[in-house]
Amino acid sequence: MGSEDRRFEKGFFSPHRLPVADRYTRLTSRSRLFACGGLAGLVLAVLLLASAFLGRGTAIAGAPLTDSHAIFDGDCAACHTPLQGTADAKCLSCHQQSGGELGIYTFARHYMYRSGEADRSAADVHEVACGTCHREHQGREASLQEVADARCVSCHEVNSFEKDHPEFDFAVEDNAGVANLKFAHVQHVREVMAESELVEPEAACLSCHTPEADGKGFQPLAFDRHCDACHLSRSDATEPARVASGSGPGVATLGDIRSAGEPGSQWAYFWNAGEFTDLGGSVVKRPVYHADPWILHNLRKLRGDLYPGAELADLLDTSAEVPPDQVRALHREAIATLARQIEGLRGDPSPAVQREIAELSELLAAVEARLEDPYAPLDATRFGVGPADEADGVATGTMDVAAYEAVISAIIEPCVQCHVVERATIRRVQQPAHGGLARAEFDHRAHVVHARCMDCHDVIPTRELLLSGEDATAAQDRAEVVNLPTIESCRSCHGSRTAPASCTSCHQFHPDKSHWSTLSR
Amino acid sequence: MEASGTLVMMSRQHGDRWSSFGEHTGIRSISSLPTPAQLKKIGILQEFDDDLLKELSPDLSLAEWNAGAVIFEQGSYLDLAFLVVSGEVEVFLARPESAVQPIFGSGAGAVAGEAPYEADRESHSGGTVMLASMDFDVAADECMRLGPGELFGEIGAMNGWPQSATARTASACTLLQIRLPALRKLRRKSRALRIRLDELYKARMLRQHLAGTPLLHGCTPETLERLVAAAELVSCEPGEVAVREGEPTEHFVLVRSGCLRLSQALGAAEVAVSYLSKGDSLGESELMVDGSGVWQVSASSVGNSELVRIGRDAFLDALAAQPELEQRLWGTAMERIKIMGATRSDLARSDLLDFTLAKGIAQANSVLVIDLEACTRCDDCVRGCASTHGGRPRFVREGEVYDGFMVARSCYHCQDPTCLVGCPTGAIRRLNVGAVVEIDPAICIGCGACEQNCPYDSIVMHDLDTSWGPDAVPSYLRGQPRAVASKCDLCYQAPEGPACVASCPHSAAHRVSGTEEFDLLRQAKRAAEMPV
Amino acid sequence: MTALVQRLRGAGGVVRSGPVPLLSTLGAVAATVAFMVGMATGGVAPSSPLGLGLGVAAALSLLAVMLYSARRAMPAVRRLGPTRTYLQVHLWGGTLFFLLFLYHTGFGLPSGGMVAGLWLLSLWVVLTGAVGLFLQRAVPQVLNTTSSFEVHLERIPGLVDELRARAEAKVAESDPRVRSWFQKRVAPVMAGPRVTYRELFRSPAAHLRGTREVELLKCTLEAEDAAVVDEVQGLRVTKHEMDVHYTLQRVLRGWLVLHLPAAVALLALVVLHVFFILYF
Repeated sequence: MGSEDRRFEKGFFSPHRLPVADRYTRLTSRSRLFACGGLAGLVLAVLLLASAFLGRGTAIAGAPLTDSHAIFDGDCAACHTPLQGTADAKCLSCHQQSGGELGIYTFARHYMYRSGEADRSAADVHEVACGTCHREHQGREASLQEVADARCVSCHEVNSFEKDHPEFDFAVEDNAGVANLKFAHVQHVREVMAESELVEPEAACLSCHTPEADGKGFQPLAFDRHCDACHLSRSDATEPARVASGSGPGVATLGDIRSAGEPGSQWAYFWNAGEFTDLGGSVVKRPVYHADPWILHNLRKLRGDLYPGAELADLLDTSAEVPPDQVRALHREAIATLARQIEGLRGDPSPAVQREIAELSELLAAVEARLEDPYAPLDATRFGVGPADEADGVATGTMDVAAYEAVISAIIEPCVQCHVVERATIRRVQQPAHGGLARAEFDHRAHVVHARCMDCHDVIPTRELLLSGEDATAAQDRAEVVNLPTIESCRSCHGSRTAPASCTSCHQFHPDKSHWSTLSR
Repeated sequence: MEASGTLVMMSRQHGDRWSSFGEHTGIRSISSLPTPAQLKKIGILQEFDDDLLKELSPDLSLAEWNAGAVIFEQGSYLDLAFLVVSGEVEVFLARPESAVQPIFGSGAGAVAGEAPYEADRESHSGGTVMLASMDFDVAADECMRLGPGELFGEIGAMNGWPQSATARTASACTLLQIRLPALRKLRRKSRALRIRLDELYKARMLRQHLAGTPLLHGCTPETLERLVAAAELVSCEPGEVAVREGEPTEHFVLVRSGCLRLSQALGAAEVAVSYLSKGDSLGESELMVDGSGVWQVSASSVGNSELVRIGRDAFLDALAAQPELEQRLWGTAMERIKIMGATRSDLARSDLLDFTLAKGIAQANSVLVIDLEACTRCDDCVRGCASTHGGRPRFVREGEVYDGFMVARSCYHCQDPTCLVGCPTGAIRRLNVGAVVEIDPAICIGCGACEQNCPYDSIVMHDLDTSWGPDAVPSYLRGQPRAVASKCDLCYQAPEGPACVASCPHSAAHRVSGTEEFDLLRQAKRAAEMPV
Repeated sequence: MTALVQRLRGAGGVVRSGPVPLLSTLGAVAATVAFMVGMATGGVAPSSPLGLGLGVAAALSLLAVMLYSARRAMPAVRRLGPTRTYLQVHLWGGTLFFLLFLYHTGFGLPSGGMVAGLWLLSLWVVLTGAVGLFLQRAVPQVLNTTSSFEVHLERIPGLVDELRARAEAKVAESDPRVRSWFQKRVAPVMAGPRVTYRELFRSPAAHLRGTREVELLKCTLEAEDAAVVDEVQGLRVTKHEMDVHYTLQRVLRGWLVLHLPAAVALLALVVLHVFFILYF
């Protein structure tokens, strides 16, 4: 059985019989590698688990917490509940409390959260966990307030600003409210341009609409700041008004007021008597100031005679032009007056009187609250006081109403050029129901570079009218017309491909301080 | 195919190299190393001198058999021929249905399916699988009786064919058992013996073979008779030139066994153009084309091969008598001319042909070829093999490298498996499911004969970690460490195919059968590398 | 024949056909589209629904990728299909994983130890995987062109010993000059397998210097001894090829050291990551 029988040469390697070892079947080296990897994985796992459950957990937490939450670094249980994630209660445990001071961080302050209601206090079906929008573990520098659109649109049925964002409220709702002001934009622009020899109509805008210091919005319009410049220089005089003597209605002269010495009439001692021209039985005041105390004094007096019980309307309705520093004094006076009235009425058991007492008490409470918290909403008209109340009526039938009205119309002749006067009351000038964006912020400063005022504010076609020289129709150009752009004006620039149009570029959940006052309106 | 009871029994009775067919099956006594004096008494050995007989005696033995003992079974591979010295032997078909299978013309392609395990299933149910051959021209229900002086089993031994019938002693008899080396030597030395053997082959087999050859299908008995009469049997040594290019064509050649390399002169060099294997024929075009009459190719034997030569005139007569035969031969000739032309135009193919012929791949049914440019040497193929075969791999991931392909040392499942010859127990066998050669570890005694016989080192001896038990037969095994031979079985039981190929993640391992598929594989790879 | 051609189509480790690349590409395209849409509508963060989905997809693809190792660990289970499919899943799925992983993070840089670990490990594993892929493609090519035979890595030390023994046997009986040359020049080289990258890029000049010395030596020797020198030189060449095999086959196995443990650790971290996400 020698190998010489073999037919073929077997080659160099063949004399070696390969040892048929177990190593062919055992993956020694590979299983060693697996073991190494497994061991490394195990060590990592143990380290991470230890970090999570025994240590500070920073290894698994991802990026550090934001600056404001940095104190919770390593304290997982401060926010996380095992197997349940992060519960709102954990957020609230701090934020509800600290919010108590100013209410800034409370959920009630998420006024834009659902429907713009400012007083949301209870959770509802739309409630989502805080962490849904406010993502933590994004790094120290990250902002918890920066919320991606994806978070908003996952609930809100708006996909993008440019496609299906609803129209602004003021453009949709009927805003033909009551302005109580006779004002025409176009005419004003024309006159201002003519007087100041302006070339650009926008300059005329700015002569009244003064930007705020931060440039975002505009200062509220006020007579002494904006109208004064023109309207006082006219130095209008009142019509000759009959001076009160004996029977019949008439005005009180400066001397009468001084001698009467009523509370709140100290101004009379310092007033320039030279402004009054005695025409014998009647008097003319020249010049007339805005909120002229003499006119208001006489108006109040006459109204008090003509419509008894309506003093309160003076306090609340005609205080439109009261300087801010005097508002609190005025409120205190109103409180005193109300309290006096209630005291006077007490003891009369008749239901009508009792009802009035109740109303007055409510008003009193509201005014007191307002004094405490200047941001609480208050609308005097809802209490039904003032001359609009039909129940008060004209005091007596024996009065010579026409004579009264003649006197009244004589002294308010300069006022009615702009103001609406009803029943001897200068109606308080109302801001439009929607003075602007209720749930979003608009920054004018960021836009003036790109557009002129009238490019956007074109509901009243000021530019066209100026060019054509036509007069605006009464319907077009009234104080009631809200000259604010629609959403289409915004979309001409803002969209996915142009200027930013993310949700939070307009909608701010925690507006800055300058907006707190408007929040509470 | 399950190992038959007899084979198992034989394995139990194994005593030495000669007692393959042991006492219990009927051998009463056996004399190995017979003396020249003993041998001289036997008719056919009388003419040889003592020196030669002495030289031959290790491969000769005299055995006395009981009556009614089975000498060999149909389908077993033997490297033995038997000469009846005294008594009678009867030969019959144990399984008539598989008896008649054509040898010539069935072609290698029938076995060398593209996926042997699948092709074999089909062929098992009726295709032409060259498994059985006929040693005896016996009819299904006949029983042939052989008396003193008769030789049997020699055709299977010489050609490496399985025995086509079962032999049983009819009476108590003495048989001279001749191993293949001795048979070859005797044949070479003795003209008389050669003639005798050829006569026997002609008488017992040739007619049947020719009749079963598709090429000669439909020939009249007379024609066949003439062909048989004109036939001449030729044995070729390794490297012997059977046919030389340019010489006059005197014969039509049929290959009985072995493999012939066909070459043509190209300039000064001899270039391999094709090869012939068992069942192929040569000389059609030379004989049929008028005026040609000279060999277009040279044919040299790769190993030992056996040829049948039919004289030119008898062949042409047969052609004249059978016009349809000519058509068939033209088809074969055209096929060969096409292949030769293709090879001549692509010398790389010729080179491959030489390689495959030299390494035995041309005769292989399934070779594990690994693309070395894709192979990452991860040994997943070995591991896959080991895990499907009880933890022991059945091949070695090393071997000859040709053109970036490595022929792994895994069983080729040769068409002529020399490993089958000489297995004392029949543990190594060709499965009836086709080309698969398998070793049954249950009856392997670890003698290492197959391992020695395999020319390609594809059989590995494994030490089992056990020893033979106290009742082991033969007795010398008792207490010895037990070894077993193992080799690739093509995972024939798994429908998914060989595990080595399936386990390769990089598609580097392939199973190919023969030269053609090897070439296709190379071309497929080149095509994949070419930018489209 | 068509079945054979079909079977051979996979020759050369081609991984660009079949359903796996197609599905992976589809997955990648789908993920990219989803990511683009996500970016267009407010960005992708790991915790957003889209980011979460991408993360889950990435984890699943990682698991699918790991199946390759599992498949190779049990080659005996034939029903699981051929390993090359798993390799395809491994390669394509690995790429897909990296894409999904990047989308999952929204291309954000890591913050915190755990996330940084995940990030670095993923990057490392994918990079080493790419390196491994390159090596597995390139090294066999180099081996194939530089080496004439194929040898098992484990057998190399034994075979080198054999070569040295043969060379020593040849030299033992020869001229003292041959012996001294052998001791000085050859014996150190044949001492054992060497990791030598220089052999790969050996300059022709260096090669010549060695041979010129041998030629000079041979001039002074008898024909018999010169033949010994030639034979020893032949063995030495074989030894060099062995060294090339030793070096490159070690590279082929060694790169896994970089890839595999990291991959296992990555899997562990991913599991932990998922656990922490669920827990906190």
